[in-house]
Amino acid sequence: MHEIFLEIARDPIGYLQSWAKGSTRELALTFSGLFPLELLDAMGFHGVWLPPVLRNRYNRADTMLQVFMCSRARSFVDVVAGSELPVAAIGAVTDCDAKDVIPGVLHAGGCETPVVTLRMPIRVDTPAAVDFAVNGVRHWVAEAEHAFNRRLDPDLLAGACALRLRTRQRLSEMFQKLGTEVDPVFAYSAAVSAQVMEPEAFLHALDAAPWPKPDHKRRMIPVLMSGSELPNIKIIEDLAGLGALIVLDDTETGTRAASRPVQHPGCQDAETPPPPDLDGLLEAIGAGIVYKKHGPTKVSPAGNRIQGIVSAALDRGVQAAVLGLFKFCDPHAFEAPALIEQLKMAGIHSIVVETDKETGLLARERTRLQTLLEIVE
Amino acid sequence: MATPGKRLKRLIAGQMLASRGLKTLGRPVAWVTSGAPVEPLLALGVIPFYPENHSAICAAKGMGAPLCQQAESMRYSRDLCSYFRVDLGSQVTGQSPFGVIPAPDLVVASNNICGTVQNWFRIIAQRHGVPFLFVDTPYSDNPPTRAEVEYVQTQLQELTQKVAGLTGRKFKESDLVRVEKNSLEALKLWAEILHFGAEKPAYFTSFDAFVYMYPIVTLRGTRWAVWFYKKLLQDIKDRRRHGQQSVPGERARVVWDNIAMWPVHKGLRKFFMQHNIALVTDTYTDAWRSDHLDPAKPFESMALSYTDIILNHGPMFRVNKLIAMVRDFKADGFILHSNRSCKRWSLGAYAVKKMVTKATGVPGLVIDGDMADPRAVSLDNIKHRLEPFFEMLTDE
Repeated sequence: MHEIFLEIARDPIGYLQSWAKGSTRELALTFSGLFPLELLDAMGFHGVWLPPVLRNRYNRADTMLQVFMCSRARSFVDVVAGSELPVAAIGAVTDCDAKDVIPGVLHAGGCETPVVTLRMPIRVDTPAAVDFAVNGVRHWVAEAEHAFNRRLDPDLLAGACALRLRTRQRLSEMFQKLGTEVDPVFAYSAAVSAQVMEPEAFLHALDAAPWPKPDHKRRMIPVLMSGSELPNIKIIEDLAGLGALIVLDDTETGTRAASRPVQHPGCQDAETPPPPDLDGLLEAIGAGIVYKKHGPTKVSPAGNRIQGIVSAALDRGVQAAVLGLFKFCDPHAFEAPALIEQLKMAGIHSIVVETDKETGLLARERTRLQTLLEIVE
Repeated sequence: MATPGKRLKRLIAGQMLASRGLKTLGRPVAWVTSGAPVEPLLALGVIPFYPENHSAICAAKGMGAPLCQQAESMRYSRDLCSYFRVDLGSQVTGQSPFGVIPAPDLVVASNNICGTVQNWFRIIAQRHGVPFLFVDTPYSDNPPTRAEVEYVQTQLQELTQKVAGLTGRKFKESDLVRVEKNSLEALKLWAEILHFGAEKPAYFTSFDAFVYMYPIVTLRGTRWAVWFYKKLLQDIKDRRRHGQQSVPGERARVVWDNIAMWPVHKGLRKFFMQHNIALVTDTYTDAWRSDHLDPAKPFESMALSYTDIILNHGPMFRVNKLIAMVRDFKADGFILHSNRSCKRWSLGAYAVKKMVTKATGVPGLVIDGDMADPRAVSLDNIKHRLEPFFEMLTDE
């Protein structure tokens, strides 16, 4: 039953193409873990946070975008512009420069799929930012109802909130046990699958069998995986092959997106959601986006992020850190030197793995990583 | 009589001398982004310093490569903004065309120009161990909503209180109104000056604007900027009276999108002159043409002014801006600088080009370059791209 996760993680487009053939629901995409998929679900779509689909060429995106845009963003534009999926709607969200310009680029490039942007604050440290985020969600709903020509159903929203929250909670539980009780390849495959599968199907598959455990018979080095989104599952498989055991995650694919709360009674029980409270739910969704665990695109209370990572790394006995960066991802590239320095001061060596094309670890990076692991060992 | 260029040099020298002197006397210094709301700082007597502008000058003076390399040696990727790398390199090495730069007592940044600055200026604040104050100006493809303006306004009021608290200086709204009046006067003068590019032939070009924009960026809110632009306006009027057009024998008119290519600025200007091409306007210096400021509503109007600027909007805003510029400035073509260091401004250039050409019937050209890293700009390659473009524009 769990095999499906690895299949999806390896080929999310293939999975979604098959899904679309057998479903009456239409597909709505987003490109960010900040975007609340429950909003799309509640409009009758199947909301999908499309994982990066790295390729060796981005032929369609390259007609609209320069190569110095991160491959995460280029891959999204490539999939949408190439009509590889029957996409009925796109929910965008403001975050970094690359993500901010995607809607405009799609529009200027002639994309006919309606795109509505959820405008979120960059600050996540003030009550005004929470108010702004709540307002942003309400505004998005009003705009999306018009642009997508659909109503957001309050009954569906309550159920979708509960299911999506349950999914994130289960992922959080899983990442808490990463490397100790849960195999990292399984955990990341499941996390990617949660982005593309319908939540009911995902939860059913997740609990269909015990979670695979890491191979404790092998001597492996405990490592931290940090970065934005996971470029592809091959990297995790390669790391495992080299003897690196991921015991701590700091990625949007893993713990960060999963940490988004929705503090509302309507979300606590997926089985029996209480009567709908649209306004309260939207407020809780907006506030949750601010309260979630963020990456370096946000202005949060000074120093908290890096200190938090280092402290968690020490608690988990991390001996080496892998900073997985998309080439041209500015927020993480800005943060990397300080993170490396702080980890080093804590006795943890780091390696930056920069990804652009469709590969796992390149030979050069494999060698560097092997060297690092040997030094640590 | 002093030329505008000499006046500008004296102005910069005077500004730096005054900044250093006042710092010594205990006046606080804030390092700020070019789009930071500087008026409350000036009203509180805080001296602003603009690292972006400083980086541009370093790059124009040929210091870009070694300073970028210094930052890269500190593990900062070569793919990051070259203004940032030049600035960090300058901070570490102490090299600057300005000599000694007064150290910051606080850092004020706003993301209305890009997301880069919130990372860059946080690094400055950490290096100097000073407070980092941030104004979040929501990015939008559309004009700012009421809620967005209110969100920014709240932050501007908080910023003013925080700066007053940190510096121990008393805030008076009358001071803010006075500063805003100065800003508004300078902005209006600047807009009037830029409009001389619309005359055919042009009496002011973007190559002039790239140089003379210094006061509107760094002295906005002061009487110095007003003084400089009044003089410059008079100079341009005198030139027009004497028939001294900017590009003798003007054969074609072109609009520029994006930041200047500082490492090859002089060479590019010469090349345009040799081909009798007038660069009549640009989206870069035009960014300081805002007329939203209203001293009668100092915080509210400031919030709108600092949110509703070109870089805080999506590519469609740029498309519409360029269409208007091509029409208003009677341009024969337009050039989009695909600037590796400014992703927010550059991304989508190909799609923008197609839409502007479709709407105006005027050809456009995308050229690759960088605003401050000479290793990412090749004047020869640019000339090879421009030559046939110019031939097409001037082909009668």
